[in-house]
Amino acid sequence: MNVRLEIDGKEIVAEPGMTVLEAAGRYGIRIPTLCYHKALGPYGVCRLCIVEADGPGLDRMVTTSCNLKATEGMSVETASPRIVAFRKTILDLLLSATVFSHPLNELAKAAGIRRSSFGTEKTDKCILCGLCVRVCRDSIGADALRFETTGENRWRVAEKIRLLKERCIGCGACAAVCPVAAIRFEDTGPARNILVYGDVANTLDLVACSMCGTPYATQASIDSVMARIDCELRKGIKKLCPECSRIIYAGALAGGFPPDVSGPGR
Amino acid sequence: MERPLTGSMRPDGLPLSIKDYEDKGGYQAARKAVTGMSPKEVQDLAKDANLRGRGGAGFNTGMKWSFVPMGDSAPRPKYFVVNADEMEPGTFKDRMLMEGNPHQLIEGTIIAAYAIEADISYIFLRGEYKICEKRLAAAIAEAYSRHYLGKKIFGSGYNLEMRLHTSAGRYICGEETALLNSLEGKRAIPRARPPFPQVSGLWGKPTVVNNVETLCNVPHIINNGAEWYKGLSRSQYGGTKIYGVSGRVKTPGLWELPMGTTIREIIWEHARGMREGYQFRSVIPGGASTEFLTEEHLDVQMDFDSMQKAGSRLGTGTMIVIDDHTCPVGAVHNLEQFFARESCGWCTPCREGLPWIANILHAIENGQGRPEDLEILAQHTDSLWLNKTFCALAPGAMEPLRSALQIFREDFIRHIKEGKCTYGKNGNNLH
Ligand SMILES: Cc1cc2nc3c(=O)[nH]c(=O)nc-3n(C[C@H](O)[C@H](O)[C@H](O)COP(=O)(O)O)c2cc1C
Ligand code: SF4
Ligand code: SF4
Ligand code: FES
Repeated sequence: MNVRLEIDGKEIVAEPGMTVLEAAGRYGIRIPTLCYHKALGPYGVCRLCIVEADGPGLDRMVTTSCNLKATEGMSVETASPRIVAFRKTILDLLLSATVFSHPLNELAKAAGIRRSSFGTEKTDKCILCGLCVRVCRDSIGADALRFETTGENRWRVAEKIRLLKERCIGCGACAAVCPVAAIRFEDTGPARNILVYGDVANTLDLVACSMCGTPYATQASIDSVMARIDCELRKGIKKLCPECSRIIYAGALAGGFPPDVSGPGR
Repeated sequence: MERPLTGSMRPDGLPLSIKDYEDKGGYQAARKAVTGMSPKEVQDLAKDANLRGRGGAGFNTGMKWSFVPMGDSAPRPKYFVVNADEMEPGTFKDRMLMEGNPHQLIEGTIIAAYAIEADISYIFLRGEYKICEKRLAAAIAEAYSRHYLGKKIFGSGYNLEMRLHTSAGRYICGEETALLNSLEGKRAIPRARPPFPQVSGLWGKPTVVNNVETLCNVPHIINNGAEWYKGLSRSQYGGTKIYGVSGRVKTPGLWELPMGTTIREIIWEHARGMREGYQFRSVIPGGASTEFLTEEHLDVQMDFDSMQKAGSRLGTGTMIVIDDHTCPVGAVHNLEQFFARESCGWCTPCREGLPWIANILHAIENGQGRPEDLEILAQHTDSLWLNKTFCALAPGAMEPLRSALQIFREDFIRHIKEGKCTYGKNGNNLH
């Protein structure tokens, strides 16, 4: 049975099991998030997605929307004055810890923060949202990223992210999900560098596209994809860079099937 | 006055052996429950007795047990976990219970585990509690040797294993879901609820976590019934409570008293009042994460509802008394430093916010506070409030601060205005 609720005065129909964040997104109501990714589900650590929820048994509860189930008769406010103020504090705190992050500065600016009111002594490189660790472990299966702590703060969950070279397959998923661009990758000709906090943490060789010869992906990441594909399907797959595969498959759709790929190969 | 939990303990502080314990009626309750009552009957009896959790939150214990899936279709194994982490500042009641009578805890655990048809029980013990560790390990071995643990206990069809686990030592490990992660060998971070542990706890199986003191009550309820238990109390909640006092009182310590004894009685009759030359100023009633109360609250009963009405919480029921020579700013700084250090670092407001709070308090205490600091602190007490953070650690940390900013406002302002602490060298500690 579908669930009816109200978000920012709008009538919303959500599917059973949907979270408030998902339901809002469906109707174009944007709630800011930093640790949520739809491929990974809720995590609840950044606390930016906070909303005010009223309804049976809720009593104007202030809580995170990424892990709040949408329920019948609920009424949610995503930007009430106290919610806006709380988000501002969160961004202010994050900004004070990670002053040099450009995306974070942009987010803070949008919230009306010019300079952190908490000083700028801390120089963390990331906001410890955990997305990269989760995508690498849960989606990619490489488990190459770790939260790490140092020195006297050993009991903390994390102070920074560390990349384990021998496990990293160079797929770049971490860079794709990082909300503050603390992890990036750069392809320099035949090699790919994974940069954690601006430093090269791993370098892997790239495989050339079988059509145009442009280096485009690491062997380990191709192997990892292949390993998950059915044997029969695997046969038809060619090593193509995104650009060539777009051309080929678009052509195949227009003309005939299957696509005939005969390139310089390896 | 009856003292079921502590009355039979030895005056020399040594633990009761299994023989001593059985001579005083020990293990009768477990035998009765396991061989003569259904799990549901045990749950209902705890509910009727109105036993509420002594670990801090005060949840109805029988109710908590009743959320566990029962019967043949329930997932197995089910787990019962004793929360013996006791790291709340100023709290040392569970330690006394375990050191003085380890078998009482084991018996309570057997009954509670039976009530949810658990297969395996764990005692999650604070790492520094070395004496408890030794005595519990010995007592568990004794209980196994008499078949009170293991297969077919008391000759019934019920099996229960018990393991002692010593914590690697963090305050957050006492939070029940972080405790479960820690037991699984993972990092101690809290888990999102739902699912609640009763449905999906340790290794994804139904699990109940109870505090040591809560469990020590259970054998007595089985032996004497719900009416007797309720009669012990001076409030609607059943039983006695282990109350504690620390600070500059004549005899700091622990006392088992009727639930609902007033703060005044505990401090002046049992702890024998303030030390010569010191005046009572304020009290944190239930461990560090409760709100300060003052003179006007001395006649409030120390029970769940009365404390809440007075604007604080019963918490662990062990109070820290602040006297007129102790700098309240220093005291609060001391507490917030603890919480900042113990923040698990998982969620933003607590990880980034608590260190700021501790820094600001440090500055004020040392005469470098700015007038706007009080506003920033107040703002934090709001942004680290319930549900805004991932778990209850941060809101707990805000309780003493929030109340201190009101009750001791003048002290804060004086520190900032005069640029120094006016209590002198002696004022900065809680001893
Ligand atoms: C930060 C934090 C620390 C806690 N520490 C303890 C503890 O040391 N011992 C304890 O029994 N409960 C502790 N609790 C409460 C537990 O989460 C849980 O509510 C309790 O063990 C339940 O037992 P009860 O129902 O018997 O009271 C803590 C809670 C929080 C949020
Ligand atoms: S590196 Fe990026 S994705 Fe990973 S924890 Fe830090 S901010 Fe999050
Ligand atoms: S409130 Fe503090 S202790 Fe609790 S999850 Fe967040 S960081 Fe960890
Ligand atoms: S998006 Fe919900 S807590 Fe981060």
